Amino acid sequence: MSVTDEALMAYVDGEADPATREAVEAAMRADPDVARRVAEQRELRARLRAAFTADLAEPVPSRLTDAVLAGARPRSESRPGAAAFGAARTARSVRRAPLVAWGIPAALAASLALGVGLGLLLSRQRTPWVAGDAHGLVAEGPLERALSASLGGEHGAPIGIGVSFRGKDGRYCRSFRIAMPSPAAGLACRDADAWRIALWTRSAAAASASGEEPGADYRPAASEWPPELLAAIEARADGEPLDRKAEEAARAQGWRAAR
Amino acid sequence: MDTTEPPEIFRRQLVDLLPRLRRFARNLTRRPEDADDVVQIALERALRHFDQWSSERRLDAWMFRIVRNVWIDELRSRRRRDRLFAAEEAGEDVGEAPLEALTENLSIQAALACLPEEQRSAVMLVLVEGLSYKEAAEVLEVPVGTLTSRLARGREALQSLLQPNREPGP
Repeated sequence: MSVTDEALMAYVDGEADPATREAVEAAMRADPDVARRVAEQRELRARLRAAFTADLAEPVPSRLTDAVLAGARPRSESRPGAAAFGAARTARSVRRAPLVAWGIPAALAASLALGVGLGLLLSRQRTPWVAGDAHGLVAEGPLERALSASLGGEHGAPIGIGVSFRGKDGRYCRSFRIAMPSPAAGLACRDADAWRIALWTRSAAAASASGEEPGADYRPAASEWPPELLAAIEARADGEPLDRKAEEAARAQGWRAAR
Repeated sequence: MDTTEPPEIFRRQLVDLLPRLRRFARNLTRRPEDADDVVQIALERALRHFDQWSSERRLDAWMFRIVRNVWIDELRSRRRRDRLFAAEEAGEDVGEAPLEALTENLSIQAALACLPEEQRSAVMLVLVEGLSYKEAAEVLEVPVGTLTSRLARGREALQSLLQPNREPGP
């Protein structure tokens, strides 16, 4: 008996109608694989909630509570559009550390709350393609090597490199797709010493395109790439994608940002 | 223009929502400094238009929608200034501090940060904030079917980032 992904997801999220609920529960009894998928979805949900719980304990800056309460004070001048992005931005240093400022304390706090058992269980779950650091994900292993060494359109299974281009900040970015262990596509941009994953997606387009036979010699048409990936490329790219000669030159330079 | 003051209870409920609004905005913008700017502008907008909120609707869902619209507006205006990605990436290469022992929670947050915004927000609203599909679809201003497909894709992407060692099915 098979259960659609939609039915399973609705069941886990408490959105299934009674008939679907019964069907999923019957399938779980009959098929250990269905039961396993439900358990995985539940676990993901629990992990997400746990990961973001610590954020709620953080003190709220007074400028935000003030923004709510300011107008309520009798006869006080309401603060004039205090929250103007532009003003805040120029006053602030441009160099900031995303994720670090909140990710680490939240992570530490929540991991203490989670206990050791889950930590041990999860420490084995590492993807072969990416590793996390304080700022997000960076490519590693075969993906890192493919991004550094392959030219666009080369399809060394199970990784395919798509287009390469120079971003508006001068850094090189390359699109890629992965066939295993599950199809995905993404965009990586070269930092000083790592390929930073700027986007990771598993859309239908990524799945069908990377489901090709490994080693099949093909250069995917733009339309086969997931739309969100194309949008990200368009938003970042400064000019046209690199041609083969420009790719070779960039590779020879170690993909170092051109300023 | 006649400006009716928002009732005290409305303000108190907003204050109670602040931690969740900040959390949502952080995952939306992926930068804490932007997040607080977004929340502040959204609060001001909500106070100006509090009469558009009806008490049958969840205030949190209404606020999430305003927060997201504020951010979309800001992205559009940054794009017009052609500074969006320059600003974003200037922030990305601050102090290389790779964590040798990556903790679970950082990795799940990092993984979520890699998803496209539409999937990220769907995951946050339903799986973290606990909104129903219908409520989340209203926040994102899309049909429920679109919301569920974004949610499914976001989940798959997270699973593949977090549980990659499992062999794919036959």
